Amino acid sequence: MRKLWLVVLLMIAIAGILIILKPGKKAEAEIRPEVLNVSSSQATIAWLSEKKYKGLVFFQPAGDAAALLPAAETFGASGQHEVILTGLWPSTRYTYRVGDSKARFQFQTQPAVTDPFSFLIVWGDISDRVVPLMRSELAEFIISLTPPSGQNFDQFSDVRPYVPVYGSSGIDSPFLRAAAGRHQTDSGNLWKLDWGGLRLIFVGGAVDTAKIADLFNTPAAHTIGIITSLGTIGEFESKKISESALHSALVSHNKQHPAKPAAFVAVIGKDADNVEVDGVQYFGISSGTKSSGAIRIDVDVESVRAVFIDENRELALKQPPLKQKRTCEECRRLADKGAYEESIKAYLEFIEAHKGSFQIDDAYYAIADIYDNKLFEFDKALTWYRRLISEYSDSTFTALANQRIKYISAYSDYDYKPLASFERIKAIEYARKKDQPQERNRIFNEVKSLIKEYPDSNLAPVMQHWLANQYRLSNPDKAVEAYMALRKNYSGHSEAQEAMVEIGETYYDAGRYKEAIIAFKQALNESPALADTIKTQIARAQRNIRRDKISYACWIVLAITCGIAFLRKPRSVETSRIFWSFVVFVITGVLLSFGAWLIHEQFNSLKEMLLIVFFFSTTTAVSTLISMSFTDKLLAKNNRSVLAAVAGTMAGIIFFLAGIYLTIYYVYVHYLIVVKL
Amino acid sequence: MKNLLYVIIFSALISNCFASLDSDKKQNVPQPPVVKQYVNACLEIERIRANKNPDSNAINAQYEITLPVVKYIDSVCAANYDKEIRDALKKLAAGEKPEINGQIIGKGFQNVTVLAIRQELNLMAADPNNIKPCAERIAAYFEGIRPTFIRRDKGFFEGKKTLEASADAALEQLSKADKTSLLTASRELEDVIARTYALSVLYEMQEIEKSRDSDLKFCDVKRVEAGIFYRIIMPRIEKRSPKINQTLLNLINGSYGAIDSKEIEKYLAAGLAINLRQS
Repeated sequence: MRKLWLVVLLMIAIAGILIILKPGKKAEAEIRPEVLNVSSSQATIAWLSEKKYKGLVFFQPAGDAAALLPAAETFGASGQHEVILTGLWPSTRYTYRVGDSKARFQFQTQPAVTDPFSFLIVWGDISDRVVPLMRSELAEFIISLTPPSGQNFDQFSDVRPYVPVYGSSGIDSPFLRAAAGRHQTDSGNLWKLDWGGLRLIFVGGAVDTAKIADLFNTPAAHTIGIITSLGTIGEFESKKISESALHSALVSHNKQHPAKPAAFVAVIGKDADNVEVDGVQYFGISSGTKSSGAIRIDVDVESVRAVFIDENRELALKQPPLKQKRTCEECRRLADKGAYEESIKAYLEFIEAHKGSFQIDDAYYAIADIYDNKLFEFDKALTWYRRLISEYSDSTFTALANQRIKYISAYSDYDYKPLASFERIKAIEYARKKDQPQERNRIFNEVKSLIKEYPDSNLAPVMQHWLANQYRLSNPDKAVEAYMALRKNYSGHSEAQEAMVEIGETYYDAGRYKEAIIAFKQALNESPALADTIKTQIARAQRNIRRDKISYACWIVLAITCGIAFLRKPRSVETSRIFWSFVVFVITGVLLSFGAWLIHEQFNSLKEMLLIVFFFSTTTAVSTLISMSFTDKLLAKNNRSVLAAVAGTMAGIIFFLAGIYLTIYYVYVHYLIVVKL
Repeated sequence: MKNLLYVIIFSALISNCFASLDSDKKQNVPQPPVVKQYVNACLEIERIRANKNPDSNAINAQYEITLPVVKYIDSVCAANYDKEIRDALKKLAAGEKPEINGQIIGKGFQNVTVLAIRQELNLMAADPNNIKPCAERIAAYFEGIRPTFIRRDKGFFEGKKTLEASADAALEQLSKADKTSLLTASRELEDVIARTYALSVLYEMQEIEKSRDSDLKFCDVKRVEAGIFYRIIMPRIEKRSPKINQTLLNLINGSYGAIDSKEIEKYLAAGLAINLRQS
């Protein structure tokens, strides 16, 4: 017996191990494509196969629901496949699959010259980290400083379908190595890689500086970077570096082309260190001393930075000319407490003291903003916005400044007078007093006076539109009047284009659906471009009218059924009937409460849920009472019990349906959508 | 001897069974039941918050349920959501800026949920044995942010299930992924999350454009919402281009009169390298 148990346990254990190890599910030989030669408009997908056939790749922009585009191999059937995907967009991620394979991969085309991107420099055995690194660092390609082992093991095999991998002497590709003879994989000790606006030059040893200088001539690139070994520069020391032939070539190039500088040199074989020599940033990559590591390089037009992933350290490789950013806290404090003139003075002193040293675009913007939004001195605001754009064209405030210049310039007529008054009213008076009806009306009258005073100003239709929109919140008739005035007086203006739709919406919001439909129908003729929206609004208004009518009908039905059930002779209702109705009320109430609790998250509030439960239960109870009372009265008149019971039940059902409809109509009308009403 | 053999076999079996769970436990990764409780509590808080007078005691009670996930995210992402949400809860209970503090709580959970999804994607990428359990947890977390996807579909794609369907497709791919196809599935999920929250930022800015002439209080609330939504996608934009990130921060925090949603959309698309309106 004991042996039998042991055998059973042994079998269970073996079965468990077999299930866990899944020996039968050994991976089938799947196609592992590689991404080669990615440019901004095309990419090459390559793979090897045991059988010979003509390769096919299906691709589409990532996230696009459009059909997959096919791309076929140019040559005939073979075991080495290269499919070129053409007609691609720059800086766009594409999803692709090879033939009938279910596995889907993605690659990204090269960015436009001015677009930012990142890439990784890695060394050592990073096979365990390569997928997480690709996921987290969003790199567009990888540079591996460790030569391929030459064995079957390829540490980049999981990421080759996504990004190209380069080595120190050119593209690193198992496909190209396998297809050696057809392809030249070694680019020698001097080669270049262009990606977006970056040109990376790989210098593998002592080389002719004239040849390096030839590689600098890059009309498109905004930045040049060098990757080289310690042997090329001698020693990692400012003096030695400045004497090296490579550095002389870089300095000479930077003098001739300061806008497209050779910004950095990555030195392989040097412990993590950095030194700036004549504006060129040299940094070491300790590929020899540390077993493995990764650096992410972020490239943008004005800035390049190296992020040492394992060391939590960043190094700026290229910076805008005015690199430090400081904010005048005192200036800001003065503005915050309303001392605008003093704040401007403080900002001006700050600018004067730090000009040329710091990036002070935020001080420019702050001054412009105070003139614009606090003091309403628009000519001065424009001056400062324009100064900001001309002196700091790459500032992150230029987008905002452009917006304000566009707005202020559009309404600069009458020497900014209507604009200043209107902005002041909106920003100060209306914001503070709109909840006081008297003050609100006074402000509206002020705007009306402004429109009267400057009827031809560019701002007049904007003010008229604003007035109509504000009236819409409190007085629909006045709003419609203002919209009509907008249509009449400024018919060609963009603000008046949708005035008729807005009139319809004003009536709709006020529950005046018939007037809304008339307005919407007129708008439909005037604005065919908005036909879909307007038709939806008309349908909604018609639906609401229908709901109102049904509610009136329900009230009539309730009155009639109650009248017949309770007022028709004999008028008395038996106490037992009332008792049983109460029982129905309690039972329904309990059941509905339980059901409602189960789906309580569907209700807008607890109150709404309780109201629905209460009125549904009441309706059920009263309809039961009506049903019984109705039957009793019919039975009293003639003895046809079946007919009486059917008629009584029908009356109860009609009362029940009307009651349910009215409950929903008054508690939350939108639930009627569930029954398509 | 036989007994020793049995002991070895069973030890091997048990250690195999728990091997995949081991790495999770070491990091105190919230398991599916905890995630589901967290998601339900988040949705319940949103429901309570939608009332005119939200019951802060009820929100506090639900918040306690969310704590394991919030604290886990605080620890693995070096964040401070527990403190931020508690501060907002206190202010809400005191009636201080209820609209704004309510948003900080509600949208704060969306931040935590997205960070939790990202953390699960990291765990997946780090160890292929984690793919299945992580995919299950991601699917559970996603339910917490699904309402946002539905709302954005309604607002930007006329109710057609564009974002929601993309997210569901990505979740399905993720559950089937292996080590090599994992990158595609995880990128697709990250992309649709980024798109949804970029559109959420855009939506709030459009609301400001509509109301800037009439309701500044409403604009203040919308700006806070936009800021919290932006925080979800900011790391990706900042990594791609610190300049675009700074420009977007300036645009979101600029004066209401200077806000231009079209300009913001342009920068959001450039910062994420995604077509936001792709249907």
